[in-house]
Amino acid sequence: MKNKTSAMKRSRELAIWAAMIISAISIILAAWAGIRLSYTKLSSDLIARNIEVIGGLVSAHPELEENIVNAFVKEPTAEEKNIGHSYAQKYGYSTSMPLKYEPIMDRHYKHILILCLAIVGTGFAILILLHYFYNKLIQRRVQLVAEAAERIVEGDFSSKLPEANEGEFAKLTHQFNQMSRILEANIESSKSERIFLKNIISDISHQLKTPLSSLKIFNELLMDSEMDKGTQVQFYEKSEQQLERMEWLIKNLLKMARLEAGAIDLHKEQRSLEDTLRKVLEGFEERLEEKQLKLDTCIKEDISFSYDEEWLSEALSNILKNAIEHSFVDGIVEVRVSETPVILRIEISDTGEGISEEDLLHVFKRFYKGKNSIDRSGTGIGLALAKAIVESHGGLISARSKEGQGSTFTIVFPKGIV
Amino acid sequence: MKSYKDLTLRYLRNQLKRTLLTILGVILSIALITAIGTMLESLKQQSIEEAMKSSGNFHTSISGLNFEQINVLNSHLYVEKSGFEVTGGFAKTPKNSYVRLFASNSVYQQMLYISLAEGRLPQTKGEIALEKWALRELGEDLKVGDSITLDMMDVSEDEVLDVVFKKNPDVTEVQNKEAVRLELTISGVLENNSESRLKSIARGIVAPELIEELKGKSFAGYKTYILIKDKKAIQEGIGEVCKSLGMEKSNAKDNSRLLYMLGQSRDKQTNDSVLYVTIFLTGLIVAATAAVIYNAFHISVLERIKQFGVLRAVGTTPGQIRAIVFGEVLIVLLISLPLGLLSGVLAVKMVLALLNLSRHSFFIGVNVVLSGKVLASSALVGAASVFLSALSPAFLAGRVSPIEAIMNNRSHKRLMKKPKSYKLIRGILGVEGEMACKNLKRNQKRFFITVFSMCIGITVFIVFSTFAHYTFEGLHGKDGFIGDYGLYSTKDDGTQIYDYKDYEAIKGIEGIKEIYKTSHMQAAVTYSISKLTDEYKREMEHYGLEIKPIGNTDNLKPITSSLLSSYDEKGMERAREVLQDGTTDIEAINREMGVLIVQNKEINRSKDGKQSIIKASNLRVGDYIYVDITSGLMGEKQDLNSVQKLKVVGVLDKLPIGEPYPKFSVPVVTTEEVYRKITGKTGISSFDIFVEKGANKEKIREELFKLSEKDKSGMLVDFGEMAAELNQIKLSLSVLLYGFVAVIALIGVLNIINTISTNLILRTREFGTQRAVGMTIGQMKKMIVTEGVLYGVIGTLWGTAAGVVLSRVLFTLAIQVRGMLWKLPMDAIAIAGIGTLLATLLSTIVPLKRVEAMNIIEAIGREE
Amino acid sequence: MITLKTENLSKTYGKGDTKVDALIDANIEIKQGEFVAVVGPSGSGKSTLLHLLGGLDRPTSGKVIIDGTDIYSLSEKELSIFRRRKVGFIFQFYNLIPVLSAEENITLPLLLDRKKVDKLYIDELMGILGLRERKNHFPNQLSGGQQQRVSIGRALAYKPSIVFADEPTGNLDSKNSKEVMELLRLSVQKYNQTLVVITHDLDIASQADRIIAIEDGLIVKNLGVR
Repeated sequence: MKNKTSAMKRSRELAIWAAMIISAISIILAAWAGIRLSYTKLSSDLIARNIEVIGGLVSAHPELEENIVNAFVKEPTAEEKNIGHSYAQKYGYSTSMPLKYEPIMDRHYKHILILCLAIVGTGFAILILLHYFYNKLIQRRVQLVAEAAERIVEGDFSSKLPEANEGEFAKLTHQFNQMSRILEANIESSKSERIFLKNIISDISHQLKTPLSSLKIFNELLMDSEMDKGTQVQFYEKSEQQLERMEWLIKNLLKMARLEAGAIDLHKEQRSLEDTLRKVLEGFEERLEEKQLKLDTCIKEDISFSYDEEWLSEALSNILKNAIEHSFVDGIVEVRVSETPVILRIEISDTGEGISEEDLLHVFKRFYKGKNSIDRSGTGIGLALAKAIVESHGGLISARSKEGQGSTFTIVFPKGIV
Repeated sequence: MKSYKDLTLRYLRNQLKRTLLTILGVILSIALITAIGTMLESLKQQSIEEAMKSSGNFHTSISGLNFEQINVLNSHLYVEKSGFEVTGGFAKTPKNSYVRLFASNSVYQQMLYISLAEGRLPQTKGEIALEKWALRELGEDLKVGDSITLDMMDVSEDEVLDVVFKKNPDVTEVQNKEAVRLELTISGVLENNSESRLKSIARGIVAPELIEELKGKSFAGYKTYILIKDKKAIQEGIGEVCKSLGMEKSNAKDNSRLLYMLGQSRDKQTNDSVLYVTIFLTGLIVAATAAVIYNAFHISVLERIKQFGVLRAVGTTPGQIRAIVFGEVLIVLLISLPLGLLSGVLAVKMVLALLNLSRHSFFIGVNVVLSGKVLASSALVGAASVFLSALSPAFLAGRVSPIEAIMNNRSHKRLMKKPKSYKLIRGILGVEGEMACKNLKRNQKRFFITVFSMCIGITVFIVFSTFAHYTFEGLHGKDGFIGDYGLYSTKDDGTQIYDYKDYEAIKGIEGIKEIYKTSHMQAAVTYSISKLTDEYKREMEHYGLEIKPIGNTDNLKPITSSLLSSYDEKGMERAREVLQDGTTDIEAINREMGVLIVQNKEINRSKDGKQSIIKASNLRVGDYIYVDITSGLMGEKQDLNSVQKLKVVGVLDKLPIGEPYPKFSVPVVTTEEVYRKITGKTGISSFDIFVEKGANKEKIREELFKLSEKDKSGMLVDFGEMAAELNQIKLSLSVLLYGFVAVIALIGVLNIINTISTNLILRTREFGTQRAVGMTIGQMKKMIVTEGVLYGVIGTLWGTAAGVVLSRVLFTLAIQVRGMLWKLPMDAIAIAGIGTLLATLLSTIVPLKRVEAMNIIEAIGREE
Repeated sequence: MITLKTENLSKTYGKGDTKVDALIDANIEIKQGEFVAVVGPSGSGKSTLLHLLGGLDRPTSGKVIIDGTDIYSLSEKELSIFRRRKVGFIFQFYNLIPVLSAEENITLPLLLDRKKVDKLYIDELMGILGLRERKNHFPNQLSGGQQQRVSIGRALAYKPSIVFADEPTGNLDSKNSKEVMELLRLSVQKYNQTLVVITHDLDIASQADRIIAIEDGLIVKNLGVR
C-alpha cells in the first residue's frame, strides 16, 4: 500500500516534468512556425509590391528594363544606395520613418506583435499552471508530514512516512521517521522505567525492610533493660551491622540513581591507572587474607588516561568485591591491565564458582541475584553500578564465565575518546 | 572526496594502465573516423575544385540562345553569374589538327579557367589567342604579335572529329563548304588543355565583335554557362531559369561532374553506390570501435563485480552504479575526443604530405579541409558509439547483486553441467590442453566476449582488405592498361598495318621503355551450348538473343564476332596477372596450339539494369573451342570441319590489354606463333608504348606520328600524362587504403591483447592454486598458450566467416556494379589468421611473466 | 520496541533435484538495542538469514519488516536507499573499496546519499575505532584488523538502526578478533544500535543478549532475555 502511494507520487512528479518539457518544445515549435508563417506572408507582400513598382517603371521606361530589374534582383553598390537615400530623403522617405507610414510593415507589425504576445502569453499561462501543480505537490507532501506529526502528538506511532527514496524530501521523511522512532523508544523506555521504578521501590523497601525490622526488634529488646551487658553488646553489634548494611545500600542506591539520572559530574583527569588500581587493591588486602586468596596482578605500567578516580575506583571495587565474594578459599584473583593501540582493557578474573549461562545474561542487572546464588549478603547492585560507571566513561563491560571454574570481567575503554 | 561520483576518477586512476589502453583505443577509433571523414571531405573539396577546373565552374549550360537572352540571364534572380561562348567555326592547321574559333565574355573565361601563358586575350576584331600546342601546328616559331591566316569553315565539331579519328580513312579533310579567310594577329597564348589535345582541336579565342559581325545579331549560336545563386537548391534554380527562358529543363545541360560532387545531381541515384560504400565502411569502423570500447568497459566492470557488490550492499542504487560507470566513460571520452580528432586530422595531413612527395601524386593539390561538419559528426559518432557501447556494461554493473560482495565463490549457484573430458584433446595436447579447453568452456559470457572481440577485428580487417583489393582491381580494369602512346589502326578486320621492322624502329627511338605488340582480328568463336551458365542463358533470353546450335552440332551459333588477339612475351606477363586457371607459358601454348579465353562478360543485368560481370560459360582447361576467322559461322555456315578447333590452355578473368570485358563475345588470346598459324598473318596490329621518365616526348611523338602516317588507317593516340597519373593513383590509394587497414589491424590487435591479458590476469589466484598443487611453470605456460591459441583459432574461424559474409555484402552493394567477379579473400584471411595468433601469443607474454614471478602463497591469499 | 521482525521467511535455491532449502519459515523479532548472535554450522543457512534480514537478497516467501517497513515490497532502488540509511553491514572479508581511503570508505554511505558529512561524528567514530592516524591510508596499507575497523566505521556512518555483521572476526587472529568485537560492541552501545552478528566464536556469542541457533535452515534455538 505504502509503496503504491509513493510510486504514484513519483509518477505525478514525472508527469509534471514531462508536461513541462512537452510544453516547452511545443511553444518553441509554435513560435518557429508562427514567425516563419508571418515572415512568408510579409515577404510575399513585399515582393508583390516590388513587382507592381517594376511594372509601373518599365511601362514608363521600357528602355531601362534591365536596369530596373537589376535594381531589384542584384545587390546594389554602395554608391547606388547613397544616391537612393538622398533622393528618398527629399520626400521624407527614410529608414527612420515611423512604422505607420509603411503600410505593409504596419499591417504585418500588428500581426507579428499579436502572434508573439499570444505565444509568450500561452507560455506564461502554462508555466503558471505547472507551477501551481508543482506547488500543490509540495504542499501535499508538507501536509503529509504535518499529519504524521499530528498523529505522533496524539501518541500514534504506527504510521511511517515513505522514506526509501532519493532526494531531499525522502531525507526529511527519513529523519522524521527516525525522530518518531526515538520518541517512541523514549516513551516506551520511560514507561518501562516507571514499571521498573515501581519494582525498585518495592525491592528497596523490601531490602530496607529486613534490616529495619531487625533494628526495630533489637531496639525493643534493648529497651528491655533487664538484658545483661554481654547480650546488650551483642545486640548493639548486630544493630550496627544492620545499620551499616542500610547505609551501604542507601549510599549505593543513591550513587546509582545519580549516575543514571546523570546528576553527577565526572571529574575526569589524566591519571595513572596503575596508581588507582593499587589504591583499590590495598583496600582489599584484608579481605583477601581472610579468604586466603592469592592476588595475581599484571598491570602494564605507564597507562594513563582520563577518568574520574573516585567513580572508577568504585566500579573496580565492586567488581573486585564480587570476585572475592564468589571465590573459593585458596583461589586466585587475577587483575590484568593491557592495551592495544586502540583500546585499553582491564580484566578481573577469579577462580570461583562461576556464573551459569543463563545468569550471565543478567549479571549486570540491578538487584538481579543468581537463581542459585549462595551469597545472601549481595545486594545485586554492585555490578550494575560498575556497568553504569564504565558506560558513563564510554567504556564497555562484559563478563565471561564457566560454572565451577570462575569468571572474568572485562572492562574496555576506547583510547580514541577517553 | 565530495561525492560518490569521485569514485569514478579513483577507479580510473587506480587502473591507470587499463584506462590508458582504453583511452588509446578510443583515440584510435575516433581518429580513424575523423581521418576517414576528413579525407573524404578533403577529397570531395579537391574533386569539386578539380571538377571546376576540368569541366568548369558552372552549374549548367544552355545552348542555342541569342544575344538578347544571354543578357536577360545576366540579370536573372536565380543566377549568380553567367558566361557565354559562341563558336564561329573550325580552321584546319597544316597538320592533322584543327582550331576552333570562338568568342566569349570574361565570366566564361573565369568559369572555364582559361589562362594565358603569355600575352592577352583578343580585344579587337583582328586578334586571336591560341593554345600553345596549336602554335607549332600552325607554323614554325610563331609568337605573340605574329599574324596568321585561318580558313574558318562552318562545320560541326562532330564532323571534325570524324575526320581526326579517321572514321572513314579515305576522307582526310573536312568537306569544306565555304571557308572564310581570316587574317588574325596572335595576341596571346593559352595554356594547353588535355582534352583539346586528345581531340586534336585547339582553341582559338577571338573577340565577340568578330563573331557578331560574321554571324549577325540574332545568331542563335550562343551558349551560356550559369552559376546558380542558391547553392543548396541548384536544380530548382535551373528549373526557374529554364522556365523564364520558356524552355524545358531538359534543354539545360548540367555540369554533371561538378553537380555530382556538390550532391546536386539531377539524378540522385548516381550518388547511392558511393554513399552506400561510405556508410558501410564507416559503419564497420564504428562497429569495431564500439566493440573495442564495449570490451574495455565490460572487462573493467567484470573485474570489479565484487566491488560493485559491496557498493550495492552499502546502499548504492543501480542508478548510482551506472552513474559511476558512465562517469568513467565520460572522462575517457573527454580525454580521447579532442586527442582523437586532432590525431585524425594530423594523420591525414601527414599521410598527404608523404604522398605528395611524389610529383604525380593523386593527392597533389588536396588540401586538408577542416570541416566543422566532419569534425562534429566524427565527434558525435565517436561519442555516440562510446556511450552506446558502455550502455550494456553499465547496466551489467547496475544489476550486480549485493550478495556478490559476500560470496567468495561467485559460481556457487551456477552448477557445472556434466563434467566432460576431452580425451581427444588430452591425447593431442596433453593435460594442459585439456585444462585450456575447460577454461574456455568455463565462463560462457567471457568466452563470448573474447571471441567476439577477436572476431570484430578480423572481420573489419577482411572487409577492408577486400575493399582495398577491389579498388585496385577497379583501377586495373577498364582504364587499367594505359601507355604513354598507342599506335593503332582504325580498322579491325585483321589488317596488320605494322610489322616487325616498325617494332625495331620504335625500339630504336630514344627514351622508349616498353612496347607491347599485339595483333587482333574479329572471329567467330563457339563452343558447346552445355557449357553455358544458366545465368548467362537467362540474360541472353532477356536480350532476345537466340541460343541456337550450329547445324546438328551442339555448339552455340555465335551471336557476335569475338576478338582474337596475339600477345607477345610482355603481353603474356600481363595475362598471367589475370589468369584464373591454366597457363600463360608461351611454349606450352605453342606446343598445344592452345588459346586463352575470357568467359566473363559485362552486361547490364536484366533484373536491375545495373552493369555487372557474370560468368557466361564453364569452360575449363582442356576443353576445345572453335574459332572461325572468316566469321562465316555467324552466317549460314553449318559446318565445323573447316574451322579451327583449338584447345583451351588457360582461362583469364579479363583481357589484360584493351577493353577488359566483352558483352556477348568470347575474347580469345594466344601467342604470336599460334596466331600466325591460325590466321596466316605475320604482321602487327598495334603497339602500346611506354616511355622512360624524362624522355623527350615531343620527339618520340614526332617519330611515332611518322610511323602512323605510313598507312591511311594508322593512328597515333597520345595519352599524355595519363599513364603516370594512373600509376600514382594506384600508389596513393594503396598507401591510403592500407593505412586504414593498418590502423584497423592495430585496433584489432589492441582489442585482442586487452581481452586475453585481462582474462588471464583476473585468474592470478587460480594460477596460484594450480601452481600450489604441483603444476610446473612449463605446464602452466603450455596451458595458457594453448588457451590463447584456441581463442585465436575460434576467433579466426568466426571472424573469417563474418568477414567473408560482410565482404560479400559490400561486394554486392558497391563493387559488383563496377564490374568485378567475387573472389574469396584468401590473402586477407591468411593474414588475419596469422596476425590474430601472433597477437594472442603476444598478449600472453605479460600474464606469463606475472605467473612466473608470482609468489604462490600471495597469489592464493589474494583477495579477488 | 521491536526493530526487526520476520514473518515466515523462507529461501530456496535451485530447482528440482538441486533444490536447496536454505531457510525455512523463520520468525524472529529483534528489539531496539539488542545484541543478537546467530550461530550454526556452515551451510546451515545463517548467512542466508543475515542477507535476507539486511535486504541483500530476496526471499522466496515471507516478509522482513524493519522499523515498520516491509523491505521486500520496495523496488531495487528503494531497497538500496533503505540499506544505505537503515542498515550497516560488516563482512568477513572487510570488502572495502580499494580505491578509497579509510575515511572515504567510512563516509561512503553518506556520500551516496549526497548528505552533508557530520565531521564531528565521523571524527568521533574514527576516534573510537582508533583510525584517526590512518584515515588517509588506503585499504591495502592497512592490516586486517584495521580494515575491519574501517568497515565497522562504514557500517555506522549513517547511524543505522541495525548493524549486521557476517563473521566479522572470521578472518582475524584471536588478538585482533577480540579487539574488533569489543570495538564493534562499544560503538553499537554508544549509539544504541541493534547488532546482529553471525559467528562461530562461542565466546562472542556468549556476550550476546540473545542467541539464535540455526541448523539446516531451521531456527532450533532462540534463547534470550529482556
